[in-house]
Amino acid sequence: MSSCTDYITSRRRFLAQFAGTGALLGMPINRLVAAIGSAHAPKAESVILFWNGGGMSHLDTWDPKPGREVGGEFEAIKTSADGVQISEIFPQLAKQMHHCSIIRSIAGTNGDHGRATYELQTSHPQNPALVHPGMGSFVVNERQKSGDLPAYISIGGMAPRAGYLGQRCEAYYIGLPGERDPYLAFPDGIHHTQGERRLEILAKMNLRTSGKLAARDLKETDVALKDAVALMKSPALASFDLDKENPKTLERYGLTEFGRGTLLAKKLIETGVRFVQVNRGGFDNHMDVFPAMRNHGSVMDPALASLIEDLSASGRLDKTLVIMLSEFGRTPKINKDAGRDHHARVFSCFLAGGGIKGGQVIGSSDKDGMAPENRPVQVADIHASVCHALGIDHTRELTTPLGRPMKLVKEGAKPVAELFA
Amino acid sequence: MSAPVRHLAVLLCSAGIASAEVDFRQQIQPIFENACIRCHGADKAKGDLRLDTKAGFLRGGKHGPLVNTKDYEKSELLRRVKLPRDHEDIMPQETEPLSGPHKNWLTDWVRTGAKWPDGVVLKIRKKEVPGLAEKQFIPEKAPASLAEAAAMADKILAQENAAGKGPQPPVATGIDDLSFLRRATVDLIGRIPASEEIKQFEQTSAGDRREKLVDRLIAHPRFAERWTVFFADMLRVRSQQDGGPQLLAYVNRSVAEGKPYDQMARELIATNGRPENTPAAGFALGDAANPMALAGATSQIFLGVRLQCAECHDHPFDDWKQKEFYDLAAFFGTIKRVEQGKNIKRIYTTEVKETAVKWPPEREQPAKREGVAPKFPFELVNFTTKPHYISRLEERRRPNPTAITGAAAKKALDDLVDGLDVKQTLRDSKQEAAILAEAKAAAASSQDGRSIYAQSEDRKKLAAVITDPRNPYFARAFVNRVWAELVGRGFVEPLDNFSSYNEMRHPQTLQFLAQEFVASGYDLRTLVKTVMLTSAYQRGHLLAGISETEATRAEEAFTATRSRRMLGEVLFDSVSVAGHLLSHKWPEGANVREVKRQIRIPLAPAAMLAAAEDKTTNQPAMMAMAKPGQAPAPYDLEKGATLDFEALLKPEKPGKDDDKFADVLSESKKDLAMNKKMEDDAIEAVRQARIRLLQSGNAERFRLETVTAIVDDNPRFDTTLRMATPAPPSHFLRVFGQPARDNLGEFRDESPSLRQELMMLNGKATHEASRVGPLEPVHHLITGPTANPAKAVEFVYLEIFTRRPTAQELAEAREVISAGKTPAEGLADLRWAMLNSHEFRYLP
Repeated sequence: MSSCTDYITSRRRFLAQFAGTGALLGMPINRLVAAIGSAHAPKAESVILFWNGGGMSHLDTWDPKPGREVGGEFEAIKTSADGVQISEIFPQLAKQMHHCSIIRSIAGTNGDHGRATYELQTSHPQNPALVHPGMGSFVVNERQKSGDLPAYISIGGMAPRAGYLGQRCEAYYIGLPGERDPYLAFPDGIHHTQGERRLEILAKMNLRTSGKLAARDLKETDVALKDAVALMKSPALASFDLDKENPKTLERYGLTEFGRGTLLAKKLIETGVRFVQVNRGGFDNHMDVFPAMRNHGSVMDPALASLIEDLSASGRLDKTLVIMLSEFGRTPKINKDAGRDHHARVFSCFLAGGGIKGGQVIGSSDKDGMAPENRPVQVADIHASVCHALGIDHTRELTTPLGRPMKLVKEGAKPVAELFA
Repeated sequence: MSAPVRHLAVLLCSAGIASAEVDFRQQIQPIFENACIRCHGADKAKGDLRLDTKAGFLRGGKHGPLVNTKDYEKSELLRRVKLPRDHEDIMPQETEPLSGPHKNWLTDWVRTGAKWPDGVVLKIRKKEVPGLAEKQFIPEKAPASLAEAAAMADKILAQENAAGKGPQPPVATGIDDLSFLRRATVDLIGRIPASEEIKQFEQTSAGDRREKLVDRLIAHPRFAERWTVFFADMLRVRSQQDGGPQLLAYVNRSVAEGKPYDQMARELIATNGRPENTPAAGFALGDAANPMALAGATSQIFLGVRLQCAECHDHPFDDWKQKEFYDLAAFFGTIKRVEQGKNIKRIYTTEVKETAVKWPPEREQPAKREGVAPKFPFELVNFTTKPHYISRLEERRRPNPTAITGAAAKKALDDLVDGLDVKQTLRDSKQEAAILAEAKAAAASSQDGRSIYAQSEDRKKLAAVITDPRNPYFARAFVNRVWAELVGRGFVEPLDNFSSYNEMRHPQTLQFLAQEFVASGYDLRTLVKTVMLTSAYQRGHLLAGISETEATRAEEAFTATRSRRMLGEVLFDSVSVAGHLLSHKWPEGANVREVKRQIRIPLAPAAMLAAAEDKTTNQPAMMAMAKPGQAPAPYDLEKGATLDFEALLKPEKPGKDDDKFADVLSESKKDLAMNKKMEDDAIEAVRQARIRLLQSGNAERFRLETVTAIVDDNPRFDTTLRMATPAPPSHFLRVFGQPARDNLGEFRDESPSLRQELMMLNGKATHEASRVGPLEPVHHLITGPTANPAKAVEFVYLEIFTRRPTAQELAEAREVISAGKTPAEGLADLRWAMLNSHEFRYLP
């Protein structure tokens, strides 16, 4: 098989190596204007990032090339947005496209999974000496959590590391959506009253120790303990549970991990979680790309369409930025194994909600999807745009533990102004 | 403030403090000293301005004051430094304009009130080795024993404290014997003492029971396991990396065998090869054999100097120049990471002819770049008379002529100097022959005609000069780390920042301990024992009611120890020891119960899934669709894969046909051929089956079903000290601060967190440790005819807290026991609370 067949496992291993609160920093309007040249009040409060690992074909999803040989098996279909066409593998999403935007001119620089993943997730090129925080980590560094749940949650795989921001900005990890997290309740066999009694004995013991010692750590441990007990009792925990969902809702999002993960992401955002990353792999289709993409469509289409429909119906879409990223696109040329290989020169990105303008396509690739044709967008511009939607100053300078000044988003990045027109 | 500064640094950065607080000594002083006071100082005072003293700065020059207190942005100081390069008023005039960050720091400093600490007088920078200026308290005479060395260290420390300015710090009393037992056992072998060890300790005569205990502990097999964690943090060992598992096993064996630290450092710095045969090569592979990364890592890890910032520009808050970084990197200039083979990868490091380190730096886009010649940027100390500790080292290292003769002596010396552990791992000539054959064959086939085990003369030289006893950084950097690991705070914090701009406390105590470490032949156990015997180590904590300032002053003066939490690994193992979880504590079948679990039943027909499964890799048909039983089980975050260190260090055995191993390249050709053979019909059939599955729309769909399983819940836990490391991100160990080890200067995060509490309150380990099993000693004290609740309480207090309960605690514990459904369940409640308590987690 192709050279990337074990990529699924190696990516898992890679991500497995990967895995708070922060100062609320409002961005003055004049800086906003400076950033994109127009006044735009940030609306987004939270983000759902769909991370499609492996390099998703742009030609078979957001940037179809009907009538060209490179276009492959799928038709381009009309959508609810005037003049915007997407691949036929997204029939339900097509009806929501008036809420969504596509950028078709991302000019990537890296065709290697590891390095490209790093750049797409952090905006910075990989550096042997320093780990930059992923998107979720730098967002929660700038935005406090609201409610009892952790600020940053990663579903179905590991989110990128928090790097120099430290443990505080790492994602809270959920393996299988809907599966009970055993650490959120007393162990099996310990009933509520017994658990409460245990906590009382513990409180008494701890009070005795903290009464004797002058250690600040003990006070902080007391706070963490109090928060933990509060979380165990919090009604917000119900958001982790999918058992009580209407079976029809579950069916609508899809009876797949991705469908369940997407529904869970929506519930978590509604409970005040700032950043949810939903991970999906299997896009490295060097072989048989069309059946693979057909399957990806059948899994992703109902979930994404239902998410946008539901967020829009509840009025939350404006406050929730939905974004789908992959480390690169795939070659227009279809190889001898009916697959497509890595292609970073141009690829696409899907966004919805969070106050961005829907129903538009920004930039274009050339006729065969080889290179950007109009309005090339740099990778880091995506991160700047996410910051902009949230009202975070993406030019802010942080300091690493070594005292090295480091921009939140790579120097020179600019928000994509058209998104906020 | 009880947390050490290195931990604080992480907090500072994450709060983005850069734009708020400016540290005068670290950030502003270097700017003034490097750029201003040559012209505005004691020698010259151009424009009537002196910037070397606070008074001069406040007075300003002939153009008036430097700071506009009403509108800081209009300050003359800021105006001058922000002018364009060619403006006639720009400052500084005789050197390059200030860099962006420097201007930002000055701005922030002025905005926050331009605070200049009293009494700080600036001098024109002259690069100097920090902390060597004074040595009046260091005795001329060598100590006769480790106990005497420890007493000398305490005396120097007290003299340095007495010579310090300001009020004397409060002094904590020494800890009692049982507290010492607990603290020492945790620090040296990575778990709390077991009840038999407590008994043994109490039966030793009171006079020397502490020293005897330390001797027992440093000889304990777990000493190497525990201190492997220390080295793994320091060296950033990652077992997921190429060569990582072998490097971990190598470190473990080195500690177990008592390999001198200087020898280990030489091996790590200079070794090339394949980690399966030369495990120390894993160190260079950890940084992908990148010369720049290796230069940064080498200086920071082995010398405690953060040279890394100088990779891209002159060091912003130290005296290091970018060129000096390149000079150091040039020692690694010809290293190369090679990857061969397809299915079975062979990765190793070797040397190439042309150096990759070139000057000027690429980012300046120079017309021409030239290879840099290696040059060690650190100065060795020259002595007029040889100090006793170097003579003692030489004496210790002098080959014994009766034991080793002629060629053997030379070989031993070569081993020491070369640091080629390939020689040491070759246990028999057959293996040696196979490896040499491999090297020869690879040399013949590789393009530049060099052996794959080519060693670097440059790196050998670097290793030699780094570990030269006249190098003032090497021994002190290590002693500082070991001291901090045991006492809770280093003489220099952060531990790897030896710099004239960073405060060093008790430089003479550090220098003395470093000298003794050199004289001991760089022996870790001797150093550890010396520290353990000091009264600085044996001090208690300050009691509640004392102010944070006082507490900090005492901890910085080492007159009190800070409250230290057990390392994550140690905490987990201590729970296992306290709860008797290292062996089964229930008879087979005693805990049989039904458990309900949700499982996912694929909607695609079983035959369709089976046909699409890749039999060669045993990959399930769809990656998103894990095989039943492969889904993560609850409590997986408390489990870990244990590595077999011994197996990792066995050189690869030559197979039946030796030539299979002889040629790396031909083997990868064989891999290809085998792959080809498998591909034909079977693989095509799987491919077609996959296509059908993918197009069916059911490839990932499933329904949930709740199933009931019968399990015998009688878990046994392994030590966490031999786990693949670092553990996965949400694992217990990581949650309790085990670093990812990606970054230099990444220390353990000791801060408490909500997730930690959840994992202790509701974790499998604490739960199982609390339950009273019939195969553990306390069982007969709580059930049946021999039951004696008071004895049971005393026993669990000793087992869990390493002390006896007070009368009040005993009374309360008996109430807890009687409130349980059965006395055993009541005792479980008590033990659960004890394991979750502050007293358990924080050292006495």
